[in-house]
Amino acid sequence: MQRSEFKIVICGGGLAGLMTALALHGALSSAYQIVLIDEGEDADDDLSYGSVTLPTAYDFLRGLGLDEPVLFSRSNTSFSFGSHYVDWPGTDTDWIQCHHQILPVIGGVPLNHHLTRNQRSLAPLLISGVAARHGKFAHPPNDASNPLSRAEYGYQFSAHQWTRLLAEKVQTSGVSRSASSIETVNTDNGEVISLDLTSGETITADLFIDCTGPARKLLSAVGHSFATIRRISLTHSLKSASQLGPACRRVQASAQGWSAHTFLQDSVHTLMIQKDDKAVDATPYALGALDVAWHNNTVAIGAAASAHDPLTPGPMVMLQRDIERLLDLIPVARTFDMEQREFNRRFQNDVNHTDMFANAFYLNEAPTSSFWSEAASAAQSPDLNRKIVQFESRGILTKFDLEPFNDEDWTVLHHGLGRRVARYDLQVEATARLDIDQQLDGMARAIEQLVGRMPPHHVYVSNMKRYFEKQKYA
Amino acid sequence: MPDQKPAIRNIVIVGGGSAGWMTAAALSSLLPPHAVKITLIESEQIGTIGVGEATIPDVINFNAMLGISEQDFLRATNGTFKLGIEFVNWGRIGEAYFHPFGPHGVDMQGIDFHQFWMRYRQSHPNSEIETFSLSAIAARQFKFAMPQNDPRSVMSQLRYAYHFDATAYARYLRAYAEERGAKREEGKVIDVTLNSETGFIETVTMESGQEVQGDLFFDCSGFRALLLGQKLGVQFTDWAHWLPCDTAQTVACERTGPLLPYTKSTAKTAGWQWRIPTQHRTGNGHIYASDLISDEDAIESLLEDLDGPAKGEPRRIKFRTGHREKFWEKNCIAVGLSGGFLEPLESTSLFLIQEGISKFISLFPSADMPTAVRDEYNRQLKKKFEQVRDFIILHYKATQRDDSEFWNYCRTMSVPDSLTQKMDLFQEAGRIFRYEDELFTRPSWVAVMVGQNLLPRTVDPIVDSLSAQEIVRSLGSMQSAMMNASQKMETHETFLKKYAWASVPA
Repeated sequence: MQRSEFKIVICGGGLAGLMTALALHGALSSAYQIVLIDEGEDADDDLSYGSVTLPTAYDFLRGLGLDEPVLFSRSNTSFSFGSHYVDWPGTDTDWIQCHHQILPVIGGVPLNHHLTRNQRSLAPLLISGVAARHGKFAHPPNDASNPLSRAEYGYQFSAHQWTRLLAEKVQTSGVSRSASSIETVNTDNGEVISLDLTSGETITADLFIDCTGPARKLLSAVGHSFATIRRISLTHSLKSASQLGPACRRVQASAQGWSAHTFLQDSVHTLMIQKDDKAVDATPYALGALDVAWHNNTVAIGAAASAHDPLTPGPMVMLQRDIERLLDLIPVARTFDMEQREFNRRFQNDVNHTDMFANAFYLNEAPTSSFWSEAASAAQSPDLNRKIVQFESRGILTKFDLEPFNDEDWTVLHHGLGRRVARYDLQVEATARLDIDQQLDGMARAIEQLVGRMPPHHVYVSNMKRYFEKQKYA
Repeated sequence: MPDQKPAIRNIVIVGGGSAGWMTAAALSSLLPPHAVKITLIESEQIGTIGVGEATIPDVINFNAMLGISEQDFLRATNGTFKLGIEFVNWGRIGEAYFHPFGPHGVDMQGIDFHQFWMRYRQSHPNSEIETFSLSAIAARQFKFAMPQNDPRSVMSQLRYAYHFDATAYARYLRAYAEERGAKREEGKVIDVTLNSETGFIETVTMESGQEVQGDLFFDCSGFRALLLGQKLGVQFTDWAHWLPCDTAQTVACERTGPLLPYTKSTAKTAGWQWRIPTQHRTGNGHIYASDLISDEDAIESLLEDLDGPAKGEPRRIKFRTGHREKFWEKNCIAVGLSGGFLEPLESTSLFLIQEGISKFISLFPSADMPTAVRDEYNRQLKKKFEQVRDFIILHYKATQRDDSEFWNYCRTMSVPDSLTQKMDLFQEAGRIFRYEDELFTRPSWVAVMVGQNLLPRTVDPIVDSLSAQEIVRSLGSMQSAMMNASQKMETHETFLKKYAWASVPA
């Protein structure tokens, strides 16, 4: 594809469409023409992306031009050390599912085995979790001798406000944008030929990107069906807040489902998830995925391709991976066999791995309501079972290819959900139990002391914003 | 207390050689002799297949796990350093390329180096990607130096492995294991007794009539797979379709010329020949498909291509490529040739042994050998074998040679889907199909594919938007930094003579 221009048309004006447009525009030369058909934001659809990201969002967002000065000064974004799960079925205690760098290895043996032998808990050894619990935040420093350097963070965000920021970026980026809607998708032999728009225009392209969310306008037109795994309903509300809450979303379970409170700079956003029972004011939402996300000249990105449980940052990490996968496989000619095959292979893996992490929450003993029993029966899979069996028998973390949630996420989750390891590794016996206890006590003490000196999340954010202001005028 | 199930108290290893003694050494370094008894049975009458052995960098981790001093080890095994492999006549006759350890160049802006190089090639069509690898540059000049840790230094890009005498290595590890309480029994195993209920191996009987009892048995008996194959009946998955070579002739010769810091692999009419330099001699082997060339012709061809006079008569080794459907069945684990074999084209034999041992250690079972643990072990090992297999098949498939029946077969044979996909993706725009924990990483795949003329039809659009001038400048400065660094290195021989020269041949 060197000679003539290659035209990519992106349909959809929500998070997925705008992010995809900016990412492609930033990475590709002028030999690629990027057109965005901005159908306007459907605020309800983007709720399904949830309101938290993983730490990997930092680089991704920066690549789109959303660095921290923009995110914090121009929207109500806040930091996220993780999520606080409260009253979760089958657990005695709440826990913070925090983001953390590689856990320490002591005497050549992973921390986990020492915890099993010495019968200690993991939580006091995780700086991000302890800080979040105390409502504290500071950026992790580079200095490896500082315990805070082990912390990682993502963001708590409002999909609505991020959409606004992204739309502004698109306006100034030079992406050609057409504020219109799709009236008809014209297809031939499993390919999209053109789109008739409400503006009266008919648009053709070499590659069409479907970012139309659950409507899946393009992929459904070329005959791809969405396999629903489970239906839920979303209800949300926003309450203004005079002070920013902790750097940690709070997720609370009840007999009918769960609700998540996201602490933003000016408000608390609440998302309630229940069984889809046609409740008034609730938006029904089908979790599941397309069989393939790339078909001939049409690719689905984000919720159009797969819909994930917003219980974890899964929906956002999946959106990010969809876009990165597309960037990795931008067609170089007008045939797409190769790209399609590889894209769909990785898509399948990503869908399975993203779901597996959320599913792991539902295998505990739970209330006998239909929400929990449906979730539990949809959660079973041989791969997840393997992970749990391996962890419980020997503290082994089974890994599959390129999972979005890493070993630390899984370790924290297993501990949080009350999974216990039956046997520790014999190698731990090379170090005396008391020595390990002393070491771990020391680690926990250092963390506690440091957290005591860290500023509250709201203080840190307002100081940081003041600093950004000064920089701007300096 | 967590409920600790009955522990393994008694481990029996059947067979010495690299596999047996590596297993014994690793286990004895971890398990105190009062807690676990380790017995290794081997017979001096049964030869081992150790020849001049080439390795990949992972062997350094194995030695480090044992706490072995590198200098001590090199002296004991006549070891030398290895910076990679030179492949001759693989793509076409008359061509050569280098598969280096360590990366090519430096990735920039989140984009793989080779993509920049593809773009660079548009203005520099004769550029070889190996000239951006410090390991390859040093190897071509017969030089060597230790890598440095500082990631800003170009010297951090060096990676190395070893060549050594495998028989001496086994001997060295034997001393290590015996010092730590492992017991050696001399003799042949002639019978194996199973528990009538569980089917677990209870004892092995030796020729002398002595019975050796164990909770866990390692089958390191070589191709015969005495326990896992013969007794427990685990079937063999045959890969001869993709890897048609089935015989090797090996011979050592005198070393002439400078001491090379790399392995050489030369493609021949119906197979290929290795050259592995150790301190005092050079190991050679001709691997071939026996239905396409006679043993006599294979030997003649082997001897013709030696660097110096042969030492002794060539030895013939017959092998079968593939692996056991399960590596671990009941209370028996096959490590080494009994578990599976892949020709040493990429020096993975010891690595696969090492994987078999380290995965076992990470999954260390209770004496009842839970099914979940065995399944996970088998899943991981099978995956490793298949990933290495694909990389080796690539060398045969990605050829333009049409000068013999052997190459015509290889060039046109069907290959596993996973490999087809990798080759197709690369050929389109230089994209690499990724697995997270794959042994051979991006630079390795790139080295072989580019080296055998499997070039992408176009550059990735992601580098197309970057400034060509800027790319030429960056690559130029990388290259001169590497040339300068290699200039300052000593020759491999000078370095090794100071560092770890054996006064007598092992």
